[in-house]
Amino acid sequence: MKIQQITWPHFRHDCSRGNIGVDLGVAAFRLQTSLPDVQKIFYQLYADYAVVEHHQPSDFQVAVSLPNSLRRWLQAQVSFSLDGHSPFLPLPRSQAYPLLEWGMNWCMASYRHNYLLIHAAVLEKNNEAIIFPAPPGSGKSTLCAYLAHSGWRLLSDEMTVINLDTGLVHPFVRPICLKNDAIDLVKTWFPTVVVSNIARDTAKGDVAHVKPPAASVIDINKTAKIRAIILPQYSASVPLDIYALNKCDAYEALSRNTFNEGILGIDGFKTLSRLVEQADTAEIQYNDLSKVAEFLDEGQFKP
Amino acid sequence: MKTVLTAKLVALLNGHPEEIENALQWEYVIRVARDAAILPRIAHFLLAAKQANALPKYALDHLLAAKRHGELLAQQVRFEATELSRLLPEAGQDDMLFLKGAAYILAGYKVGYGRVFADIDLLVTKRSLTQIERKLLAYGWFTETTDEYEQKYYRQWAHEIPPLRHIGRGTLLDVHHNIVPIISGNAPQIELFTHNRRRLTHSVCILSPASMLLHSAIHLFYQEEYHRGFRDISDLHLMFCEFADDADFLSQLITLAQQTHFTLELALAVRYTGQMFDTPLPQVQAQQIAGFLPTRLKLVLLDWMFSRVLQPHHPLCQVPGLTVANALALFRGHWIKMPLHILIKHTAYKTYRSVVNLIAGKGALVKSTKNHP
Repeated sequence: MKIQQITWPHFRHDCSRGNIGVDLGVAAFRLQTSLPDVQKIFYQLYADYAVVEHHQPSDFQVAVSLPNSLRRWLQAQVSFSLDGHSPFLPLPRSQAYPLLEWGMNWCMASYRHNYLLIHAAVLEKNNEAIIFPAPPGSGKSTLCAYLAHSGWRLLSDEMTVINLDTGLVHPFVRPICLKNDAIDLVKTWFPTVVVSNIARDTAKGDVAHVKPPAASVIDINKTAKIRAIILPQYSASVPLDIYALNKCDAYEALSRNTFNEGILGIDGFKTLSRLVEQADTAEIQYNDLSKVAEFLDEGQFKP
Repeated sequence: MKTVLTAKLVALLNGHPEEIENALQWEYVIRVARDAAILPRIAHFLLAAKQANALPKYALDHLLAAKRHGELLAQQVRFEATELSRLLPEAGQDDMLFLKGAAYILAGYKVGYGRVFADIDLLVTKRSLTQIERKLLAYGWFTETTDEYEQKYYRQWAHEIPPLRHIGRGTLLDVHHNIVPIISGNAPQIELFTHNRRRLTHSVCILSPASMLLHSAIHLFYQEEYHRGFRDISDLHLMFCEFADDADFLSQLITLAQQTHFTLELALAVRYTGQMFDTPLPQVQAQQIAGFLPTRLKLVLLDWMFSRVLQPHHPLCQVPGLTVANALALFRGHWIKMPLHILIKHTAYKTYRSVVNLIAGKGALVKSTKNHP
């Protein structure tokens, strides 16, 4: 059963009671929130995901709620919790939905040490996946949204999940988090995509989430082999420049972006170094996404 | 009076995963164990067993992930111990004496397997305290306690200086000069605990098994907050099991408790490990220790309170009356630690802080914003 097969009144009822379970492939989440806006956005963006039934276990029990302080009547805040514990300080009420998404990522990064977790986007075509590790501001999410709606299968926008034994990448398909100008750009390029309301003035600026393509969600358990690691950097002045990236630099770029390489110890290092050795590595600067897509389709990553 | 889930956790700690009935119950025990900070310990024991591969995938995933937390911490503790032992002899200490979690791990005792904790505890002599603090401050450790009241609280009344954090690695360090607060009037002559310390390397030391267990019991029964009480009582269980093989251990333990006037804490440790885990102890010594228990009425009250607060506190398995028991434990913990006039001042200050938090929201009194996602 999928989320969209639950009727809206039923969804609201169950969500308020913490009984909405959703299967994200590498982890199952159960959500509790009584906030109508969060319920509505979640219902929209996760429509295609499989439901985790009441009798099935979930990995993370998350909630978004108003904290118990008198401040809720004045300058309302909202807080995230995992199984009753809030790992962060509350945020302004308007940021409730992004807080939920970030909190869910935090759960993975803090507890899902069955995989190597990298802060990177990952997309696949013809069973060849490409990882785009990058710090905020590199245009990674915009690139990701573009490719996900141009024939590539979205595996993840924020978190690349690598199997420690096989080295394959597991999908962790989630709504794509767009910031600032990218929100309008994506709406212009792809007028039919579903985009959440904008949360203003977050730590990352204005933020909105894009519903992932249904086909990507259907394939949420289909792993892929990694073909290349490409470091993207948006640059207003260059349509597309491609640079060679040696293995050491590629390792460092990935390692800097891992959430849990340290806690995985030697297994983390082995998984990451094998990944870098087996994949092609390159660096790109770009302002023209169609040229990037062309380059990726050609598949010639070696200098 | 154990709740179903407490009994399941005890079964897991004793290596009986087959007692978990279905997938959903695995979710529940894992959540409760995580909340009680005992999941890495359970993971360690279950995964070391031969039948580990027969565990359901859901459980196996969570246990393997939790085990990594324990392993990383153990590695960090060994690293910090080496660093500190290199640093501190220069500060007039002959050796470094580690307490509690760090000591369990460094010693390689069962109680250290998968034991997780937030800070490393050191015990130094009162005489060398100032010099050691200066030395630590010079080598990248800094105090996060900027609140004036808290600073004063530590320096005047406590048995430790305000916690130090390492600027690069983030490790938290508590430097003690005694094992219970000075203000309680019960602080023992510390040499009674430390004179027969065990030397692990030429500069790293831990307490002897008897001192270690008694310290753990004192620490547990001097607390005012028992959220991790179940983990702590299981520490005592594991120590009794491991140390009792030594014929002299129990007699040393009893003598030390008598010399330092902590016989009540020892008696409670034996009583509640027995009730929770059926910890095996020789009849003779068990009876002698039971003789240290208080009179009937007081014991009924202590039993009522500790049988509740020493179970996991997760909402999935709360014992009826836990809220009242917690409040009693909070009061008792303060009462035995502080004389009345200081307790009143302390409570007034803490009340002020919680009122501010209630009105302005949590974090209103926190200066840094680094906890934002």
